[in-house]
Amino acid sequence: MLVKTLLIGIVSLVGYSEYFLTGASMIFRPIALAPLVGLVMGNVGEAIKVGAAMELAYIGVVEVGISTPQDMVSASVLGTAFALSTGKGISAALTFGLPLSMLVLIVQNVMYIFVAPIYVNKMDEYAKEGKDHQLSMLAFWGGTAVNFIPSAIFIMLAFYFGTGFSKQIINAIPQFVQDGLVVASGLLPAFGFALLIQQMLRKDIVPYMILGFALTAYLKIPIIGIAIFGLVIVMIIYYNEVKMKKKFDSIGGGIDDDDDENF
Amino acid sequence: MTTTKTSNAEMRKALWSTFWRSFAANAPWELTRQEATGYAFSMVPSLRVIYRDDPNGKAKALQRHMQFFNITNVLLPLVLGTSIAMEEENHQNPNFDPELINNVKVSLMGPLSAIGDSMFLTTWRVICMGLAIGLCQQGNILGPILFMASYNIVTIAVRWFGLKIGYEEGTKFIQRVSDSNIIQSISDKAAILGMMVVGAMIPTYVVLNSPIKIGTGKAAISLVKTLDQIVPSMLPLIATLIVLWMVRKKWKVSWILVIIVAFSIIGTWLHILAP
Repeated sequence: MLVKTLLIGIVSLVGYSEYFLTGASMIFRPIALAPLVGLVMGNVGEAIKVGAAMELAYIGVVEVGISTPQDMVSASVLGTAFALSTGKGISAALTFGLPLSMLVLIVQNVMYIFVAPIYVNKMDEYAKEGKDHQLSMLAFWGGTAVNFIPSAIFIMLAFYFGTGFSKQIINAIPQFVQDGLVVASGLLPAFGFALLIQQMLRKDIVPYMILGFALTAYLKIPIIGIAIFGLVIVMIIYYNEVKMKKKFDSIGGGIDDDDDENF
Repeated sequence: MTTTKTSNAEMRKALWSTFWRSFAANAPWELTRQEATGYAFSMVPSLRVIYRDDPNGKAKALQRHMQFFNITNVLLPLVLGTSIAMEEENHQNPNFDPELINNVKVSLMGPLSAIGDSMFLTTWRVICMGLAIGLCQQGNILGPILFMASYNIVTIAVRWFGLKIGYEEGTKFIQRVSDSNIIQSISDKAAILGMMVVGAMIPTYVVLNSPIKIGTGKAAISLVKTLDQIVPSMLPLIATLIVLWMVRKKWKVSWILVIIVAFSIIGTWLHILAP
């Protein structure tokens, strides 16, 4: 159990490397982290399936700007771990993953607010003195230690103390609630899509959404097919724009100021 | 031999280091100045080469890059490239106004983040997920690998060419971007592609089933089947539109989450919904 807990800690750090080492590589998504948890728990195949279900449920969780709606690493790692340890799949993944990842978010915010300013101030000093080596070391190691190690430790603790109880907890939950959570996992993508649509929504691109919906709903075209259709439409629009611009330039070229001709 | 002009081989090596460091740029992320710490961290190898005979200039440059900054991580190298080019110019040309370096960063921050977020964090991620999710649902290890590989091959290429273009074109790049409406045009097209993909994913991945039957005995017809004959996947579409309405009404995200979970559980309890 101790070895497993340690390995879960390493998997969590791999997840957080999204921020401190792998540059937004999406390694923190459940689809990518679940198989690693499966490796630790000894059931990769089932873990991948749980990861897929979680990926869909959390599809709308995007880190835009400074808002972090949810800590994906803890939701993925603990969700998969308890889904496997209880054998209850996605409903266990949500039951444990949702509340625990919110606790991790609190841990992170505490570190951000109270501890992170210490190394940032120190970095300011190093910058003023031109000590680039010390600044680099502090940025990487200090940042990682403050922002991510505490969350990884929290995940390890939750895993260590939770695995034994997880079965009892989930068995105490009535069957209709567990079924309801499975229903919720089917509905949560709607929330994700709504968030994505809201982000991009403008009246003039609503038709493309309807087109995408109709193409799959009626013609059952897979997503890759849809992406190819979308690419074709974008290309048509682009070439039309180029053509229009040429036409416009040939008519109104005389009026144009010369500072327009940079390339 | 003078040491003022940086040699090409040395600079290329420094650019590589900056490229690698940009992957770790969010390690020291912090609330008040956000990516600034990571920006200074990524600039270090290049600043070392540019200001190797001018420690004072280097210290000033480091302080300059500790100012507030934030951008979609994938596009960070592009901005780093422009900064490196401008720092070089700042070192060689005494009439260069160093204020310009941060002004350019700030002016690129908003529009590039808008593109980066909608193009990579949303559209491309969702397309890659669509590519891989079928395999994942079968428990096939190729699924996660396919997801990671397809997403990252593209973003790593964007990172590398971003740094190259930013460095080689320098300030010219900024002019080009602001003169024509390139940014707006790219983000429009990313949104079109994104919306089509999202629209297509609604019938595939939103699942809402009801055991309700209309009529009794043998003549009973399933409600879902009836609705699907009018518009296929009607219930998922309606569910998405209702949630979209809540989102547009600016309801709190956590409340919408609670409502969805509560609705599912109560619906299952009342036998209106079924997994």
